[in-house]
Amino acid sequence: MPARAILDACALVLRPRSYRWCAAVLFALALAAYLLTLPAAYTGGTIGPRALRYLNAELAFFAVALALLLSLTLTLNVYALRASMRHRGAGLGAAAVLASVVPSSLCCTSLVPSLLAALGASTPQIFGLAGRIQGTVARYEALFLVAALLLLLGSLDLAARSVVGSCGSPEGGVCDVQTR
Amino acid sequence: MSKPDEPRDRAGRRGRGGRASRSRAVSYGAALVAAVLAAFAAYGFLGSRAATAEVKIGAPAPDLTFTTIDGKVHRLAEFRGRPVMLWLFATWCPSCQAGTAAVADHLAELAGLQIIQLKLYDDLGYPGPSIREFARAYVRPGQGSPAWLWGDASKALSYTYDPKGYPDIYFLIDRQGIVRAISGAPSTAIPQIVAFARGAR
Repeated sequence: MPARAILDACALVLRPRSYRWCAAVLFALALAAYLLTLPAAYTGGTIGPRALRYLNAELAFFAVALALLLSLTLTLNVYALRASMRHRGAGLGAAAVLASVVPSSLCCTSLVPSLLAALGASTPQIFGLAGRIQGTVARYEALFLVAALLLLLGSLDLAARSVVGSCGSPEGGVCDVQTR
Repeated sequence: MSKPDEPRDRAGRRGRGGRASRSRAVSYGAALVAAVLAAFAAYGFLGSRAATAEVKIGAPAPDLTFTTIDGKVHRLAEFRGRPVMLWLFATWCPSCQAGTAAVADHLAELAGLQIIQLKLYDDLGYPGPSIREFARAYVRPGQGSPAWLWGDASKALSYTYDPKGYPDIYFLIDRQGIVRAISGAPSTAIPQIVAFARGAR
């Protein structure tokens, strides 16, 4: 069961205080980044405190959930690296981070139109294609964020299975990792 | 035969097996990039150019037409003698929604400024709500003003003022019809727009 592997891995990895601090710091940094980035679709791509006034309940939920999953995934991967384990899920994690920032970076910014213009598209071509791309991203913003959540969950599951598979149960963990 | 200390690839293989899979990945990646470029070329992107922007800061604003929601056709030159904010937007665009609400909240500070908010030609190619539905959603009752016109930009106006197809772009034009600022996302630029409105009185 994926949930069992994740819970076992978190119980093992977060037992030492150093890893709890690691997870907490990563969570705070990721949360700050998501809180400032996710509402950027409402500011034309401007990231910063000005975007915070456009943070709504839905975006706040996604910011917390994404930050939680990302910080746990990274902490498990740090643990796996220090224990010289084969760490998995990095590709999924990177894809998840990319999916989570697509709505705020693509929609209503100059990125897509400028890219099309740089590729040599004419104005009528840009008018048709840029709008379709950005309009689709704007309409299905929530789906992109749900996809990012699922990808992060998959990445966390892979990282958890690596840890549990190599170290055994939380009670009988035998990984050669310094603990305090 | 691979050596014991030779690093493994992502599938855990060493030696020629690992190198072969890396080569395959590079080949697939190169083929994908080539296919994308070929698609762009077939679609006619390469070799053509977006229209050169005719609107520049410090230059006169091109005098083109638009149609207000009551069906009247206007020319931009009709509004010489007062400062104008010409705002081109798409009705599906989140920053346009936020900008409209922000302008509505600061309308008193923008007294004297003629706001002309026009939906881009064909809503930039993606179907969104009508202008009336959009205005009803983001401008509360009592927040409107006779100095805030809504309408549709003609194709010529859209292509001339926004050749790169930005979904949210505005122009601040002074009383003499000279463009003084070009920017996007008014939701983040209300202080600058207020300063322009006050300075132009």
